[in-house]
Amino acid sequence: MKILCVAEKPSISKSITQILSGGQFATRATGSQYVKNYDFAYPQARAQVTFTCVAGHLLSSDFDENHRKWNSCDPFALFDAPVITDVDKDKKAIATNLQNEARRAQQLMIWTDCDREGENIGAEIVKVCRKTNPAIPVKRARFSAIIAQQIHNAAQHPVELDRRQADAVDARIILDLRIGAAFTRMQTKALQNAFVGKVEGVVSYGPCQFPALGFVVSRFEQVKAFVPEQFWYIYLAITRQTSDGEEETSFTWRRGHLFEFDVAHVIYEGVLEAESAKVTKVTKKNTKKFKPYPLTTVELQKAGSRILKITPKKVLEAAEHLYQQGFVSYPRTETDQYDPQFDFMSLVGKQVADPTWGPFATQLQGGQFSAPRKGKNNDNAHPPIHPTAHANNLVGDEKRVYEFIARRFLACCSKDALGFETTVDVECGGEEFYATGLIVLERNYLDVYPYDKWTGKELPDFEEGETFVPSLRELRDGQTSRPNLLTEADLVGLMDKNGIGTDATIAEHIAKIMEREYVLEKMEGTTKYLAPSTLGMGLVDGYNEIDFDRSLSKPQLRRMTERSMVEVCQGNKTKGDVLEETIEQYREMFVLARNNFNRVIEVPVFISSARLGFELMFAPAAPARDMPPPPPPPPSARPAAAVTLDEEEAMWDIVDSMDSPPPPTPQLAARPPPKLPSTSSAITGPIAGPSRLPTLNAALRPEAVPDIVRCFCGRPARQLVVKKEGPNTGRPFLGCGTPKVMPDDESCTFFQWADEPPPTVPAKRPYPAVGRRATCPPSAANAI
Amino acid sequence: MPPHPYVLQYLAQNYPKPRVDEEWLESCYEWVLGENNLDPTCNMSEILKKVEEQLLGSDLRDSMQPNTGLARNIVQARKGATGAIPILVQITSVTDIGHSAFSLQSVRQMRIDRADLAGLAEQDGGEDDGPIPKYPRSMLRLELSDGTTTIKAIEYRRIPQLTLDDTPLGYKVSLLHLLSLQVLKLRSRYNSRASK
Repeated sequence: MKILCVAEKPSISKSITQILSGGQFATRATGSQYVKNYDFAYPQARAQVTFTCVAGHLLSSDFDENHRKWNSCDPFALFDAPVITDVDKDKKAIATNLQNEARRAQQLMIWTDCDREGENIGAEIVKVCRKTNPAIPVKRARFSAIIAQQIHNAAQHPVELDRRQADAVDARIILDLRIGAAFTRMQTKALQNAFVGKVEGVVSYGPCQFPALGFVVSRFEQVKAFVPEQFWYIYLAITRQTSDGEEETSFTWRRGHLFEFDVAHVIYEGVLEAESAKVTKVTKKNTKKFKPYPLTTVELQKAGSRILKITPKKVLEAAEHLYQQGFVSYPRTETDQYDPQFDFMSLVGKQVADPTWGPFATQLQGGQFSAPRKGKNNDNAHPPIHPTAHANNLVGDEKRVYEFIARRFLACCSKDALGFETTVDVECGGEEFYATGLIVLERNYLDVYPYDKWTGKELPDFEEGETFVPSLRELRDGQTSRPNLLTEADLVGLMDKNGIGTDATIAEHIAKIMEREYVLEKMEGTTKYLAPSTLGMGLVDGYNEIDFDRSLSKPQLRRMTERSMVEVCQGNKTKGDVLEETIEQYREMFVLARNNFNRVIEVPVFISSARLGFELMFAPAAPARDMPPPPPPPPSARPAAAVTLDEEEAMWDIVDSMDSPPPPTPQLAARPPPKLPSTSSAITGPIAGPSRLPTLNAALRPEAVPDIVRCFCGRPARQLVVKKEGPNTGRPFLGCGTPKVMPDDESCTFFQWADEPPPTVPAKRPYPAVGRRATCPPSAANAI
Repeated sequence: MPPHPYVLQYLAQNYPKPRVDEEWLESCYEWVLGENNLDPTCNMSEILKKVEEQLLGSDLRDSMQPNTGLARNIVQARKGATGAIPILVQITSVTDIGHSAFSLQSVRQMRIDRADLAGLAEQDGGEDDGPIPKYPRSMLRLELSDGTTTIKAIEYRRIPQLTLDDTPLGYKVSLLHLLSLQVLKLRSRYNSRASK
């Protein structure tokens, strides 16, 4: 029997061919320079095999002729416009090759990656092959790692292609195309009209990206609005003899800290008046530090970003490359528990050869092995990411990612770290304090996993019932510190938690919002943080002004869509149902958005940016400061003359002032603000955008004090007189400078009385150097 | 109609401080009888229950005689304690001073957002966002009023029945042995009755 096997990428088809053919195969060229056909015999299935591949998606979707071009139709029509799905012109040669080979084959076996996208690509392959061989039977090979045992098993026990998963991806592609295109065209045109000549390129929208941007903006605004709060705490200490000499042991107040001075002070006096402190309890017990959970894609990206300082997208790419070479298992997985039958020992055995962690692996073989912890998630598709073979000659990012995966796996297979903890509870003046000491008895997994830390702390001896006079009793103060902007790792976590994007697509969405310059990177020390650009923030704030049922910038909407996808995969909903529901939803929102787009344009960020001539609209990251960080902004108010630059400058100053050295008083890190939901989407379909628009009109810089007042379009404003009866009849005013020829002509919403000086934006309140307390009454914090 | 002597006796025994205002009590009593068609001769326990309910649900400024609860000079007193007779007060304000306003505000915002979406959640097929976030709990600071005088108090030892999440304003608390230190009063023991 002749079988045609198709993999998703050239490198995979080569690797699998090597395994199945045992190295005995013939190579043929095809019409495409990337694709080769490999022929070999596979007696285990009594077949002759031709193994070939595609290069990702074969087909692409776009609107038909009448709707493809930007100005060909009203964006609203895109929700219903016909979509044509056909072979991508770049992939024609690949498709032709498939069709030729299919003609001569008796069975088609799909070897694409085993995830939703893979099923979808598989379905595309079937569609193309059936054009020349309409009745060809189709089978699907399932595997999680490119290693001999799994590949042979997959070849000999194929399954059916999962149409439902393919449908789910189809739905996603169509939705992203329709929604993305409609909103993108609408908002780009509107912004171009409002800010004539200042908007470069396309202002794109994607149903997943936008909520990702929403997260970044939310956090930015929280950080901006942050006011440090002062708190007080009682510090109790005793100086005692230990084995190393005299040492001061400090005790922590059980109440932690209080934000009201009077109360703290009154309680402190009580403590001061007490003659001595009494040890109420001494507890000694064993404690452990748990080893990490098995590795998922999201965890890998977070760790890669935080520890290895590699962006989530690059981490995934490196992992994928390792997978294709057969070094690690399939890197797109949500599963964090291992099957009980999993063969750990042979994989541990493979790591023995490594010069660095080999000895540790040997120990595991020698009896130190302990089964990995079980997490809560199982996508029933792939196991947690683990190393499948030892890799010797890796370099750069791949090497570091492989090392992380290997160490993590070995740590999972080790024992938890063991320690001995002593807690001493003390009472003084009616208040409770405690101190803890730790001795690390067995490091176990910590020896192979240097990314976790556990240090011991010695505590002098205390006896229960003992009294002592504290050597130090002080009322100390501190200030809450500003929360940080999101790091990429944070954003990955947020998106995952809120169901935006899948483990495979999250990194792409993040890369997109950065590519489109909605989000910029800001370095602080060695950590990279994400801040919104003017454009990004304006869009989010603007859309938030519009009263949608479900906000575009919050995750609920996208989460619903993602869940619908899962429903399609499980067979609870059909592709048609989901498409209909979701399109209907977004269609309504589109109308609302379009009718109220003026609110987006009038958002303060845009207004002040307009005055600046949009210098910062697509600004690259804030000016890098290699010099020592600037001092925090002085407490004096800014002069009113520099008023128009305030908003923007203030925004960047805040972002920059995070470089300032920490204040001298001890700080309490503010609790991380609760994760806010957000959604984002990718635009997969091609969007034919207009060619580049004329760049920034430099003549419109407002630094030269304008004696010509200009409207939002950039034209000189026209002076008119109020005709309507009322208190202002006859009063002169300035309106949009764009001449209105037809009644429907759009003009900007600029307005200013001509007989008054122009309104000024109030100067931003400077950040006080001293801590401030909220002045609203305590009841403001009440539950509703 | 003046209230039945049993009612007066019951209130004098259970709510001596502050004293119930006669006019308020009379209209309350009449309302209770009329609304539920109760007869003093046979439904006395029911009447007492309802009157008590009304009392605990009322604003003490309306239902109590002025200056019959907390001592007028309690705010100035440096140190001391209230006596053994429990004083009924209502909570007019509550906040948590062990956590920053920032963290409290964040939780509040989450609760608002969650409430906004509550209606939509059913349409979306019952989204499981997890339980409603609770306010972090350290030390509550309250303002208590007996209808005339308001004092500030803190929760010296934890009182689990009071929470920022659920305790409504106007919640009635009976104070026993209130310790006072300088400006603030520290509550050492308490005994509360549920109320609206």
